[in-house]
Amino acid sequence: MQHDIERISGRRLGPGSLYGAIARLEKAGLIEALSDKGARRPYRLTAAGSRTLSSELESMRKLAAAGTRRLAAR
Amino acid sequence: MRRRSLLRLYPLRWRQRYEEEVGELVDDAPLSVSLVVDLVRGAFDAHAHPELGAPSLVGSTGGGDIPLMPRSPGNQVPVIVRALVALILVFVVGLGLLYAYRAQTPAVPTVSLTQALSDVQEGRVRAVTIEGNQATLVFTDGRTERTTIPEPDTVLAQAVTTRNQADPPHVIELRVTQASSDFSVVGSIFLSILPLLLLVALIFLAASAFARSRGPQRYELLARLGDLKARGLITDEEFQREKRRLLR
Repeated sequence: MQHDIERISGRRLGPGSLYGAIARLEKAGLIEALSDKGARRPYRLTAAGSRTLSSELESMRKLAAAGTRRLAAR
Repeated sequence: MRRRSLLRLYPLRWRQRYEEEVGELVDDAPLSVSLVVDLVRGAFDAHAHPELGAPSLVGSTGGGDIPLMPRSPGNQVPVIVRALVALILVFVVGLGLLYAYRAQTPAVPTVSLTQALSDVQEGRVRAVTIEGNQATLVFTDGRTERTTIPEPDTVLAQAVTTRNQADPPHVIELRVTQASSDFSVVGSIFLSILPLLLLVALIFLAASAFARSRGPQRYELLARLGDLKARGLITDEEFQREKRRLLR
């Protein structure tokens, strides 16, 4: 997961920050841990998580599109 | 020291839930300042948000779209506790400011070298102590004053010697010591961060006291769980699993 984040965002997230985020997402019911055993525990999006992510992405897409239009119109 | 032991900074409930997973990441990561800073910051965060370590009631099979948990119960710190903590914080900050103010204004008045020299020449001084570039003058009436002198001293000791030769019955006691600056630098650095250290310790204590004071809350959660099972919203298997996690 850390490598993924580094590859996508170009920033390395320390374990403390990563698990700060995971704990919040899990608390909010947006992700869930898959199995109770094993230290390398995988997480997956819940239904609420998918909905939240897609609406976030949609608003980011709108923002990016609006910004690009304004920039081109200058 | 194993890197994993840094996780002891985290609150107990958080560790029960995440220590195993994070521990593996921490052991794999190269030891660096940024890792330590990251974990210490994370520990502060976890203490400030004790609800994060608590078991979530969202089951892995039931889909996560119904938030079964009451809306962040962990934030409802009693007003009286908040007020108390705020009061203590204000007190500690006040102490720190007072300390800084005192450090800036020494109790012994400081005078110019010219003033000190004329005090010596006019026989008002009983003893002179020279320490590095600082001199302390004790008057015949017991008052003291400080002055800054050039280092090495060429004028003040000279003035005292001249005065002693001119007026032998009233000898001015002259002591010259090496400035013990090594200790005083370390000491003053330590003293200047002491209020900050106290503040940090206090915040940690307050945060863990908050976390502990919420102990009974898990029985409320258990009762809520039992209620959900009774209404058929969660299966017996899910109930047993969450119960185990709650009471662990």
